[in-house]
Amino acid sequence: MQKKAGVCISILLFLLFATATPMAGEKEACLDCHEGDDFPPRFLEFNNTGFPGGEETSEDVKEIHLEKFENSAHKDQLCTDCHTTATVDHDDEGKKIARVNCQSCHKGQYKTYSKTVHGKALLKRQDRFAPTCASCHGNHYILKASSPDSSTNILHVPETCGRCHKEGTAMTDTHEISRSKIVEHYSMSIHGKALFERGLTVAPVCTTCHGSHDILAHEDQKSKISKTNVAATCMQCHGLIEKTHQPMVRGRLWEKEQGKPPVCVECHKPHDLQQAIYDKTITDQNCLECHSNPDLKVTRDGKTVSLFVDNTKHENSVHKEEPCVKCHFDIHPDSDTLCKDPAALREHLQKTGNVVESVCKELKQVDCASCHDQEVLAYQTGIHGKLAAKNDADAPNCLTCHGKHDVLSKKDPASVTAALNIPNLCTDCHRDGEKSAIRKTATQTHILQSYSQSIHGEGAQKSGLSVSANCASCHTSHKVLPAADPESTVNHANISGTCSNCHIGISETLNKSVHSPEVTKTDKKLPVCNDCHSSHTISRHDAGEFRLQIATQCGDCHKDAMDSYFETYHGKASKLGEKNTAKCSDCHSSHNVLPATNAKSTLHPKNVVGTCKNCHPGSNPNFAGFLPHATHNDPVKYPILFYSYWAMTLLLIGTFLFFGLHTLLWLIRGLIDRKKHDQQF
Amino acid sequence: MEKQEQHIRRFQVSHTVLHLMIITSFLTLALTGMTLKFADNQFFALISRGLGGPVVTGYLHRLGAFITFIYAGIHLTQLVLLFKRKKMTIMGLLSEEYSLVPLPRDAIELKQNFLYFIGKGPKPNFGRWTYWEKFDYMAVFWGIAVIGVSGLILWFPEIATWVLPGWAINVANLIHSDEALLATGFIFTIHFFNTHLRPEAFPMDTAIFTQRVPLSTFKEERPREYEQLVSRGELEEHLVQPLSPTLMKTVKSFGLTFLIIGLIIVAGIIYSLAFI
Repeated sequence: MQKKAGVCISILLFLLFATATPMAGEKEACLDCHEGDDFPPRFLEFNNTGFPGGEETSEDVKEIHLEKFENSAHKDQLCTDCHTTATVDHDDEGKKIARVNCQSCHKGQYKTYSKTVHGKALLKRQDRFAPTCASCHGNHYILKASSPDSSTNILHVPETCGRCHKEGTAMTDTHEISRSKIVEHYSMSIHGKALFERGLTVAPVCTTCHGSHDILAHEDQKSKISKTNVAATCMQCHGLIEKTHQPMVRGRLWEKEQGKPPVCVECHKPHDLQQAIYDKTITDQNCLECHSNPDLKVTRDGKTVSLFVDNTKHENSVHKEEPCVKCHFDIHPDSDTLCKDPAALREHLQKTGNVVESVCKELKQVDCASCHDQEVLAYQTGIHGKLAAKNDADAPNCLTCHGKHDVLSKKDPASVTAALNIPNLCTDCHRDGEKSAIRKTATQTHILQSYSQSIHGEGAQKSGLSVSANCASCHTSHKVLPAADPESTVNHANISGTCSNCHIGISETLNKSVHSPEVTKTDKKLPVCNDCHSSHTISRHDAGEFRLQIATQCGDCHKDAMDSYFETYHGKASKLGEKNTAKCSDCHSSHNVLPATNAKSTLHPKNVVGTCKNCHPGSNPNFAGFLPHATHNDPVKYPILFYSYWAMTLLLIGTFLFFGLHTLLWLIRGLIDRKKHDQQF
Repeated sequence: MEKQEQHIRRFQVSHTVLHLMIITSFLTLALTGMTLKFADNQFFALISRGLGGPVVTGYLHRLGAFITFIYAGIHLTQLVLLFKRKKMTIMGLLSEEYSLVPLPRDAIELKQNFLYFIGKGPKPNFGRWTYWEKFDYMAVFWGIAVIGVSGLILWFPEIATWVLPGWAINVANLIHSDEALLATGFIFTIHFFNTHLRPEAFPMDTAIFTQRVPLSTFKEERPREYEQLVSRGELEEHLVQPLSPTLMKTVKSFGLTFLIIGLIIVAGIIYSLAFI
């Protein structure tokens, strides 16, 4: 609207003051002279005098074709809308027409431009290299930025800016620009590759970060790339970077303080952003120049350490694609120059008499967090990491479990971290007599033996089932915590969730049973998986000693029920080692324990006969009336049994009292008589 | 060779056979039953394991029960036959010397015996069966009935509950168990003492195995029966030769073995009852 209003006003003004101006609609009048090859060469005399409008060359003007102009963004404008001082006979009168002033329509852009490095260079310093509107937008055939052919379209921006900012142009030769090889670096960066190699039109280009009309030097506080604004600029696209940025960088948290991340460009160099921050100019071949030698040794703290790297192992490892420097990123092409140059290296070694220590500096221990930050963070919160932080000699680090150059994927059956190999790996330390087991805090013994005999261990070791639970399935692999820790996966509060990772059906049933905290609100500890199934010695419920332990396990809480159970045949035979007699779970079910009033209970009147039938095929409703927890000690609940018991007991006592007395007296008399008899004879 | 003392026949071979059946079955039942009743006790748990666990002892127990039903059947048949052959009548049972039915005379003898024990009178003039022998017999009779019926309920609970309520199994279990305790305790202490361990017979009375007793012992222990036999002139009919010493040795070692097993079981029971 503003534009159109501006256009109208200017047209009216020209109608009033310039009677010699060609009338509106008379484009043809201009084109009489300016179209095609007929254009007179005297136009060349026109020179750039300091107005934004562009350096026009005869070539540009020669190309004027109405057809092309009609496709441009200015197709609705007349020549005189921009060339305001032009008259039909300006050439005859020898008048020079004024330069096009874009600001008459594009005021806002002009105002912005005039304050930028480009604008100031033009307006204040009359820098001949300062770009004008036309430098970027062109002149007669300006296309909208949305048009793919436009020089300001995202696809062409690097090229357009690069016309001046490319290495070796007249502008870069005469000006001091703090960054070098901008376009080259950009095109190799992840942003540039996105644009040029993947053709992503959302890829950031120069203007995305620097702005278009509002380009300011980065020192300028208002600049989009100033220290204060650059993060916001990056976050136009990387909006959630603070949440998703890997928290560990080079072994340190990236935020020095919570919520205070560093400025993006501190680490990610502006034009040459790489996916990982390491230098590719030192190749594996450079490293192997020395490290493929099996005799390569150095002395550290009085110990001889081999620096030999078996590259065949690395080439077979899961990191085969990764160059040495990706992990050993503290080697640097600037300081470790010898590494890059085999000839210089050999010369150096000759000179120093093979003192390998003098070649490259002692590298820091590899920090796996550079790539595996989540795993390392988990490790650091786990007991292994905590002990390592205290410099505990027993604490394992990444390498203890994963190895060094020969790291294999856990999916590789040959890997020490493959599912079937984990128990052996963990028990390298957690076996009786080993590092972990001899610590005072170790409560479990015979872990490997117990595990091997357990259903999980048998599944893994005998049947070779990789899905069978191993140490890491329950304890996790990196964030291993002692069971007492509330965050531990094997903590009493969490263990049901841990087991349900595999045993989901059982977990669903259990969650609806009386043993679920969702069903029973109580202060007492409700049982969780390992209360009945133990941890490492976990066995099949239908084999081994498991069935014989059920009653005592339930009895930990249900003492009365256990005591009365052991009064019955079921319990007594069980005590004598009979696995087939009914155990708690045979009647109450194992996970689906519900009150008998619940229709889903195995003891509900409509289900109980069926439950008995599992063992007693001839079961009937009367039979199911057997009292499996009856005692003779409760006259209220079980009067018949109580009185039967006392009747029998009185009979016993009476009989034995009477005959006991009888026998005792007889014995005494018998002995007296015998004595007399002996005396007589 | 010294002339051997005359013996008098007291039992028939069938009595010996029946008593052997009782001994073997009763010991089996008592031992296997107690392992279950006192499952808590290490001694019985050990025996249970030694015998092959509760399933095996269960089968042994049923075998014992089967033998018991057999000898009970044989004995009842004998009684019926005795009635049929008119050798025994209801009136006879209530008056005759051969009757095992407790009679008023037994109450008198019981009183006399207690007086004798405390030195206030002579030894009672016992006949063929003393009152405690009659009690033994009746107790076994009653015991087999009670333990047998309750045992069958436990053996076939599904069938029993066609007519009985479920709690009847609990009651049967209780009665079976306590009656068995009574029977075992009684046999292995009172019966053992009254018959074998009493000073007059120590260490054992072999009459039930040899079917005969020395005439002098007979005269002393059952004076009334002796007098009756003499007065009827039937004594000579019952006189027999004693068994050979070898045979007696076998009988004694056999009897003593069972005696000792029984005493061990009773020791185990007392231990279980005292410490649980």
